[in-house]
Amino acid sequence: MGWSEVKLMQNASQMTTEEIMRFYFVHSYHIVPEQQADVFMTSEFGNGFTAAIKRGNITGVQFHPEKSHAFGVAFLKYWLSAS
Amino acid sequence: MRRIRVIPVLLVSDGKMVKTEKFKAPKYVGDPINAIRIFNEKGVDELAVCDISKNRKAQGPDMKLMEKLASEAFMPMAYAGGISTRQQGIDLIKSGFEKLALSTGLIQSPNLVAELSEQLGSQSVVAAVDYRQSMFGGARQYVNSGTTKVKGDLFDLISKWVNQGAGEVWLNSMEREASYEGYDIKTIKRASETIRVPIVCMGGAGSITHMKEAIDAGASAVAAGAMFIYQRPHNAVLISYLKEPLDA
Repeated sequence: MGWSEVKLMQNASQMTTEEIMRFYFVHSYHIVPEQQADVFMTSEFGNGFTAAIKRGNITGVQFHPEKSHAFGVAFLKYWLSAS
Repeated sequence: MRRIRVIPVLLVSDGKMVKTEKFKAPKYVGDPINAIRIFNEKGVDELAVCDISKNRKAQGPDMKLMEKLASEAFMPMAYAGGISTRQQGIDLIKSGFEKLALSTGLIQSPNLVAELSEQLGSQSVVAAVDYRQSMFGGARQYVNSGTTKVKGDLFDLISKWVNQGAGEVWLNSMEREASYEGYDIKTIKRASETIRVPIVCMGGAGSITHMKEAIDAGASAVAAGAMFIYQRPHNAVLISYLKEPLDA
């Protein structure tokens, strides 16, 4: 439970923040995608895990954007503009 | 490097934001919604809201106010204050809080920690342990806003709450509250050797050095009230936060 920086694994240039993006995670569950191409964001916390997935217009996140300050707002804006 | 959670503690009493010293003399310091807006701007890691109203236990959490506070907050929030039933806990989580902290509830509702952690996950259930050193040596836990001593060894009690399902422990040194003297390093160390869940220390923060000392002693996160609410030396009300993240 806590904040973790994430790395973008797919192009999402509209999503910009001044600092390195970080999000708030409330637990340690995470998914392991079958297809590497679906990985949208990764976190290096622990052994590293998939923090977000994206394929076409479907996006899933493991963190709480609504509790992640300006980073969450940037993500939600991106998500709205991309849909 | 690990980013350490630094958690401002916001006390409310009958809808107003207050600050106490050593659990006494609540002083009016402003409007809690305004405080949350300021903490939003400052990008705080997490916020603890503790409702210390006298009749909180009898009336249950002030859901109207808490819904307002949670809807303003862009950061994760914990709530403490008079939770005595599972339904109250669920209502608070639904209103937008991530964590529920129990103190008196640990004693008065012996199954509550287990019930809440089973339903919501232990990451959302906090044992809020207020304690002070006894005259005869050794620390003792207190409940009912620090007025009722709990029987037993502090560290045995902490283990008990964790075994029941608490996923985090707030270690709140009553005699250090708003003292700026530094955290209770000895107790943090001993507690971190006793339990494996994250420890958040409270009481005594006056500087970043104090926070680093607590992390070195085994705390996972640090909380502070006076340090973020007052400006010294005259304790003028001025909400602030660390300018740089705390890394360890």
